[in-house]
Amino acid sequence: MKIKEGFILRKCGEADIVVPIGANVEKYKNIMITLSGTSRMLWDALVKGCDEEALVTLLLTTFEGVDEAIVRRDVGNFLTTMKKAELIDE
Amino acid sequence: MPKLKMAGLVMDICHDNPILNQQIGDYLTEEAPDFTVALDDDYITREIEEEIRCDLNFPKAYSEYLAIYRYIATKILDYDGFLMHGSAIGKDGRAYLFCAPSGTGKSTHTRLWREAFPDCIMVNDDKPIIRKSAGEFFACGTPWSGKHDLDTNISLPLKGIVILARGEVNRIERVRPEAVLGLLFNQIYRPSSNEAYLATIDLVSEMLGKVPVYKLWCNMEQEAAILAEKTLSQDSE
Repeated sequence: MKIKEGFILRKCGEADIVVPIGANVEKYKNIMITLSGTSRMLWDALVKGCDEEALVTLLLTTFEGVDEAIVRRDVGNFLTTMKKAELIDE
Repeated sequence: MPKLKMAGLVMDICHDNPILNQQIGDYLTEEAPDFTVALDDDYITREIEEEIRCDLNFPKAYSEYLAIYRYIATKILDYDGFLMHGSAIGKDGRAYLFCAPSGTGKSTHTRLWREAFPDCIMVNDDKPIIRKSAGEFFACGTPWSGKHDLDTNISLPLKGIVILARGEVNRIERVRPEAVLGLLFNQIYRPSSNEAYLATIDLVSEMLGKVPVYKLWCNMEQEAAILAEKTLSQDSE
């Protein structure tokens, strides 16, 4: 999986916002994506390209002692949101 | 052709636009211009095409009037300014900006303010310019102020951005700007170039570090204005 082309990140206050550029401006003009610390980490991994398992591993190694089931659920929810917004190429 | 001064800037408007000419009285100046607005036919044609795309059908003079403001909204970024949709009211030397999706009741709420506090000033009822000057953000009146034409040629320090929602009971609370970025950015004019949009985001980010953001659930009673004014004025003391 990989984030589609045509997005850049910009800091706004304490959040990062995803800014559609070029041909994406029109298509994504009605959605606003803001990334918090953890979702930013997942976004960065998805910009390079990875699978769901790699995202789970990333969070499990970053945050020691977190419950794996919860991490899997949260990564799943994040990916569902991203896919629904059509931000990811499978 | 008229020269107008607003948001602390002088603009030479090279258009004899009947709608603007009607609104411009309080803004006329003889000072030297900071920049010139001279739009070619293509620019105005693009404005009309955009309106058609949005199912709008305005007389050509009105399209030109809007195109002039669109140009200014982009140009003013060079002077740390941007355009934000909302109703900006002034009281005791401070401005507050009320934002919400169209039809929520921004103008109705600021009308309640004017009724409750006769010393209020309408800075701009619809599309104020927000401009940074000496590190502070100001809400500025302009002769583009929506269907009620309520505006004053004044720039007041912006001391609160209030997101309006309808509610049975009046309630106001401060919110983290990060929680309402989607709504806020929907109210901010997006220039067509990416570079200009990113510069706008940086300016908005700086503003949100300085100007508190609130959410107000309100009904159409005067009590809504009294509650909002009390909270906003106390916080900006």
